[in-house]
Amino acid sequence: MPEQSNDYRVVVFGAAGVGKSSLVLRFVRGTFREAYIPTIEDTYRQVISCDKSICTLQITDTTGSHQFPAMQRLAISKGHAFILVYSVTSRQSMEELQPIYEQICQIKGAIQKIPIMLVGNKSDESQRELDAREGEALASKWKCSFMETSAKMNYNVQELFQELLNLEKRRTVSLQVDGKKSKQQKKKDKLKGKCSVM
Amino acid sequence: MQPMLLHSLSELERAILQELALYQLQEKLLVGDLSLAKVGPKGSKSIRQKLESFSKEKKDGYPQTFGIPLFQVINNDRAYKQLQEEVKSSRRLCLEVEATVIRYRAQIQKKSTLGRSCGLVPCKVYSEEPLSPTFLDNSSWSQRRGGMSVDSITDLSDNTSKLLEALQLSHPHELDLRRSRGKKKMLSLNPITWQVPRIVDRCCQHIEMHGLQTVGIFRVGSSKKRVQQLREEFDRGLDVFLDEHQSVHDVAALLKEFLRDMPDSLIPRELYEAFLSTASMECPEQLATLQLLLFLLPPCHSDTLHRLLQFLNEVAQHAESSRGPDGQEIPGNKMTVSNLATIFGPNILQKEKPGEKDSGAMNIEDSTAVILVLQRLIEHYQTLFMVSPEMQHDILRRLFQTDPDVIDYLLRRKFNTVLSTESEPLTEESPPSLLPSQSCTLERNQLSSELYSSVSFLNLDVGI
Repeated sequence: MPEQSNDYRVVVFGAAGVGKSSLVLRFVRGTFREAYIPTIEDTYRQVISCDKSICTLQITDTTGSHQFPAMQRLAISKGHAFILVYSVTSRQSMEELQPIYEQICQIKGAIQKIPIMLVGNKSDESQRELDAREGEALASKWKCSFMETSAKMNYNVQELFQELLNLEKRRTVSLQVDGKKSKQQKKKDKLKGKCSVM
Repeated sequence: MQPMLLHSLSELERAILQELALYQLQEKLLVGDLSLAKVGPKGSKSIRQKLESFSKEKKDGYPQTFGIPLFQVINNDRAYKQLQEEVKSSRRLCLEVEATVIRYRAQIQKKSTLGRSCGLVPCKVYSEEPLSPTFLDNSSWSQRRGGMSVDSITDLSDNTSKLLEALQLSHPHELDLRRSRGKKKMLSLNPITWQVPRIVDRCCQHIEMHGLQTVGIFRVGSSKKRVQQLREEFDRGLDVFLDEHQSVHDVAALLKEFLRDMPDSLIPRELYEAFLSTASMECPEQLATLQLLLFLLPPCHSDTLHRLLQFLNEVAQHAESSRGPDGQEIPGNKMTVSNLATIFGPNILQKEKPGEKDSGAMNIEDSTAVILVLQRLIEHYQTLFMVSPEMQHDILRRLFQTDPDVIDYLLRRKFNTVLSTESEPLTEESPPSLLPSQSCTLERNQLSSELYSSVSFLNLDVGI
């Protein structure tokens, strides 16, 4: 299939079982499943607006269980924006993001222009190993944005993707196609500024 | 005749079975690509590969386990075991000498110092004593293992070498070796040693002991540093012991890495398309075809795959939470057959060589089929590795035309093993025997009559 030049490609990375697929499925389909199923690679498409016209948001859900360096490099070089997910219940999952971040820096070079979101998922879980401050600290070190989410409780999921697109300065991308929801979005943006740890 | 485990067939029978399987698969037009014309260049390619891997070895300081062909891993293990035995026996001798010397010295000291400040020497003796029993234990164990391997160094007769030449797919490397050694020797009439590399066995055992209840085993990440360390130890040819202090996730990652880095993936690349084509078949047809394809594998690949599938089946059986004997809940590991197949599929069924551009990425389109095929293999491994009586008859019939003199021996061995499986406890390495228990109740005379009928059946068949 020939690739459309105006696709906007988001790639989701993270260790196995942190909830990458859950976040993506919650965002794309609005559903959540308890099932424990490893992913090899899935791509989802959604129509968004970009520079006052329509384009396709392509979300690539990568594998956390496999180590295919070639696939990872390919996904990074094709991606426009990245979501790095860890689970607040696992310090190890945060540590596993380091090599991925380094690889993005290496392939993409000027990292400031690349929208990257660091995401602490499973914020609803009571058995935390990491609190939000640790995520924030890492995000400021990496010069990227940070958010805690819960795919299960549908907390901050829509906001995550919106924020990621807001970080894109090279073109104007927005989740809204028709502009009708923009008011609602502004409200959400306000809320997001004050978001606190559950 | 009873169904028999593939690996308990003799080397000769296995070679014939490979040929039969290839023939049947070609009839099904499944492996037309493997036709003999194409085998030639592949043979030369394997030599090139060998040379390449050889030059690579030199650079990397001779890796003993990772990234080298499976048969070589097994050879390395075997060589190491033999070396170890020699070292151990010499060390045992040294220990004995040392012990007598120390005892002698202690006696002298006792005499001279009369118990004054002689604490040091007996203490030394004490510290060394607990070592020796473990040494002895280990060596006797590995000697037994080493002893089994002697039989596997077998060779080829003129007859069978032609036969195998037509089947270069089987084990090109070993074949080359044999040819250079001369053509006057025979394929063994005894089963080949259970050929599973140490690293696979150790990893499986470790997880069977410590990891069956671990949620997300094989899925959850590992410490890259510790895995690298383990990998280096195996590559240096060290005798790596995995104990309960080793994280199961590290061991799981090590096993995956070993499979992924095999230059000849566990299911050889030549058979990749054929295995995948079974994905769209109806179940009974699918299993029959998969079985034939498994029969095509070189023995070391087939045995290792058998061990791995048996292990994955075991892991999957602990996927769901269950109740212990006291009613307490035992948490499941959540790794169902399809999850395990998702994780292991791309490691076992590889289309491209590791290291080649976009390896893995190319696999993505096939991933559903890869997962489905591996799922079937895990679910049905028990029946897939059994050679049906019909197949055994076919083998014997085939042999009757080429080597009629060995048939009697093979039949005798067959019925003897049926009897002896009851009396002999299975060794640690052999997979569970799947012979139905009723076979053991057969009387001797019953057996011999069955043997007779089998022979006469063969005679008749060939006569016509």
